[in-house]
Amino acid sequence: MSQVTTDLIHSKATFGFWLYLMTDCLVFATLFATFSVLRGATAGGPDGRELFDVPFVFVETMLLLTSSFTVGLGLLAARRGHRRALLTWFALTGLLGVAFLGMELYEFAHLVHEGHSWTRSAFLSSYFGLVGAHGLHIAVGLVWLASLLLFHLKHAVDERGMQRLVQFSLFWHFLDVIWVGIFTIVYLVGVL
Amino acid sequence: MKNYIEPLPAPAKNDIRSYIAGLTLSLVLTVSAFMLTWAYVQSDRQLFTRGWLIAGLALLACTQVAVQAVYFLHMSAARKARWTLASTIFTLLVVLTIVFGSIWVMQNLHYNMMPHMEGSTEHMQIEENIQH
Repeated sequence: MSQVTTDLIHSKATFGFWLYLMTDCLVFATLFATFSVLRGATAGGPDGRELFDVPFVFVETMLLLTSSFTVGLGLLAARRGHRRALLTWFALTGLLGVAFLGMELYEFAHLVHEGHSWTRSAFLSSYFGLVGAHGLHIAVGLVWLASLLLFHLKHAVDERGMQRLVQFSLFWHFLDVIWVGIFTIVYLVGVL
Repeated sequence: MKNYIEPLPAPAKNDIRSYIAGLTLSLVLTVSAFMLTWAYVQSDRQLFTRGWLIAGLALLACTQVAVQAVYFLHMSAARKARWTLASTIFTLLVVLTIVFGSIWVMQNLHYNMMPHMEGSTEHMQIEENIQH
């Protein structure tokens, strides 16, 4: 295959992946819409003012934002052919992702333990639905990241490998963009 | 020779500046949003009007989404990336329709279901008294 043909295939694959991200955007849009409509439906239970610990979520936000930065640095390292730097930056991204997910699960467990689970009110159902869907994406992303790390421990980054790294980085940046919406709409506006 | 589409133009090999700019701007925007909210809550919700604060937070969030789209996702209006931009704009249109359409319809529904119409409050009170 000529260089132009392989490049064409790669650019089409990236565009296809972008279209997947756009449809995932629509999934999150429906969850955001559900949450926005039901945010006042607390059924006499607690609302965001009583439940959300904004400084805690602020730290989560910082972790995810930093991980979006490190994944970009990993991609740059891969483009320059520095496999060791790629592995370091991606491993750091994974650690930040695990810390983020750990904090989120701690928050969820705390809420459920206090009796504020998704069965308490429509507000809490939509809250767990939206934030949980994002957390699930992060969990899937971490498994994907682990498989990339394991693969590139042994293998150099070739053309196809580069394409996979680009797609993962797009996925990870996308999740950070969605989190900006969650942090603002759910948490910040939730405690006003 | 590249004369085909490049959905998301990659930054030059050594261009770390894009990521540093993205991180710095995002940090500033996130910290500002957090500080504004925190100051408002700490002042017993007296510092600003709630409506203005929500508008400010929305503006900060939209700016941050744009910043990350440009500096992290490398979206551009370049001709090669035009279909990426087109699909994104269309998606945004659908997102806004879903979110604001839902809020609008459900608010109207809520408003019309409320017992605020002429005489209806009295009517409901009478009904409740009968039941109790």
